[in-house]
Amino acid sequence: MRISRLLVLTAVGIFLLGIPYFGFSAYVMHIIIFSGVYIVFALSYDIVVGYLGMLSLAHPAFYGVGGYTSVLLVMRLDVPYIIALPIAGILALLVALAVGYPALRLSYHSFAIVTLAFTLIMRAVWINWVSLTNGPMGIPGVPRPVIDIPLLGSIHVETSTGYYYFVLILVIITCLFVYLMIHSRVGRALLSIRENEVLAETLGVNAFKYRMIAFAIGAFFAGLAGSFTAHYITFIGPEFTDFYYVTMLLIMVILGGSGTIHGVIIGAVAFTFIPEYLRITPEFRDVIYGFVLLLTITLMPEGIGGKIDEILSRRRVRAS
Amino acid sequence: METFFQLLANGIAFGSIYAMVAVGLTIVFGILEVVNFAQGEFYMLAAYVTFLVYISQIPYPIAIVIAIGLMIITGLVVERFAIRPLIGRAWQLPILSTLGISIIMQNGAIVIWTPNPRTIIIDVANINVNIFGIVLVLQKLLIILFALALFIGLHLFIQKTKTGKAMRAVSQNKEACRIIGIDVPRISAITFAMGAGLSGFGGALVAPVMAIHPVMGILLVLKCFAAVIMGGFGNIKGTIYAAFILAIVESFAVAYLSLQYKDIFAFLVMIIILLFKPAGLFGRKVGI
Repeated sequence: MRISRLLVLTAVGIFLLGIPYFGFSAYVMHIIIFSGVYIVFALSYDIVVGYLGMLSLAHPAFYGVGGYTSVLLVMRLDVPYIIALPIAGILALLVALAVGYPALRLSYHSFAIVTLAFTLIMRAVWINWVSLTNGPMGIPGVPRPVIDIPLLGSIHVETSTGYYYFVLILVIITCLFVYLMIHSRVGRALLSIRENEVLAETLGVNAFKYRMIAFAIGAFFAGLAGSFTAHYITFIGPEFTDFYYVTMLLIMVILGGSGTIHGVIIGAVAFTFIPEYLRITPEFRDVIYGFVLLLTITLMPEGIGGKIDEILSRRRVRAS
Repeated sequence: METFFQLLANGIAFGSIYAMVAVGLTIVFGILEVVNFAQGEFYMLAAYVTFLVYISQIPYPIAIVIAIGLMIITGLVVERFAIRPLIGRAWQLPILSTLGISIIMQNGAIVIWTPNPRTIIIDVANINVNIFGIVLVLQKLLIILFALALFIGLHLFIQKTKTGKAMRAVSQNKEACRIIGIDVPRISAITFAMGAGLSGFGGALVAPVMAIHPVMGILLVLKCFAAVIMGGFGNIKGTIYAAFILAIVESFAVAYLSLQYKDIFAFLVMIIILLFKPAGLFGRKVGI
């Protein structure tokens, strides 16, 4: 069992490292890189929706905060990207703490609505604070990442191969972090709060504190995803905080299977590729997304990942 | 001083619309425990229906009735297929399914009617009435009067009729209702249809005084959510007061502070109030 698992991991690792050399077209590489961004984005969302069990609609706001932070740091203050990237995450985290402080004390339903309001406020700020964000025009010409490593010189991330490895590192960090978090004290506390808040509180789990932690961590990774995207497409604008992202994330997380890492990864990759090949107008795409969301929820609320787990556990029961 | 009353009157007119849509949200929450994200889309669709019926040479009052009727039917269909199968399961699921419906309706409207705003020109929107120096478009005055009549009617309905009493009972204790033989799914369906109808009434009333476009619903419903939260989830009176407060604050804020940030004042007010009173301004008693 352990050896076969190790073999699978090695094979997956070699496959992932080899992707840039498989001769995919530039277009396919672009979608693959975006799949990586969405894996990070969706996993960070799943921390809040899947593990915390709160319906946050503020995630596009953190994506935008992360993007604008690193873009402005790099372009206005000449901060090296390798420093701007974590600062983008940290600022998103701080904003999440400020929003979470009032919002996480509310009922589940109120929380959803307050976070939605926050997304709209941030979008209005991006559009109207023209001196900082250049308003609805956005900021074009965002420099590509340059990573300075002492003694080794600097790495210019310019090609799709470079971006691919960069996003792969982000994906691995996020996956590891989420995995370790779930299997830590914090993860157990979160699950206990999700399953039975009253019982968890009686056992001494401070629900509010752990909610703040999970909400802030989710925002941190969303901020990283936003920062990477801005420096990849070399543009940032108010559309980074579009409500459309919430729909998409919900589909990725719920259809994939909220509360499972592999499910969310499947969901994120599938729903990055599918719309690219559908080639339809955004409105028509959104109509289809709405139907997908509706049908998933009414027919298969546990998602693909949940289904896989169910089948596996059934097989395990039969085997034992 | 004249501007002050003018702004107040405008705030009250829009407050009436916010209150109608928000009351629909709050009764649906009080009885089904569902946050209906599609509530704003009923408002938007009703405005479009009014527009389409009116331009086919049918008088405006009939257009209002048709719009409300269609929204009630749509509400029943939505309740049957997207809400009822999810009752009693995880609390997020109905939110997500109504979110799905909202996305379908909103983008469907863009696909069918394009994002370009439409307007209808009706006499009532061109006549100005002068009440003690406050000049108000007749339609806005009618909106206020209709809303007032509607709230009184709603109050009587919930307090006096058998269905209204059953609704109050369901909002307090579903189990007990089943035991004494109240048909809970039927009450839920009626409530949801009422919510859709209230929203539809709002949409039909604003059609002559506002631009009709596919995202008009989502902008409005968010402010109505703010009103519902401030009023104390499921508290009808609290919601109505909160809706008027929001609309009046908005009316003054736009005049004296900033037009650019118009749409976010309501949320700022909501967040500030929630910081100090997490259960809303009026709290929630048991039931609606």
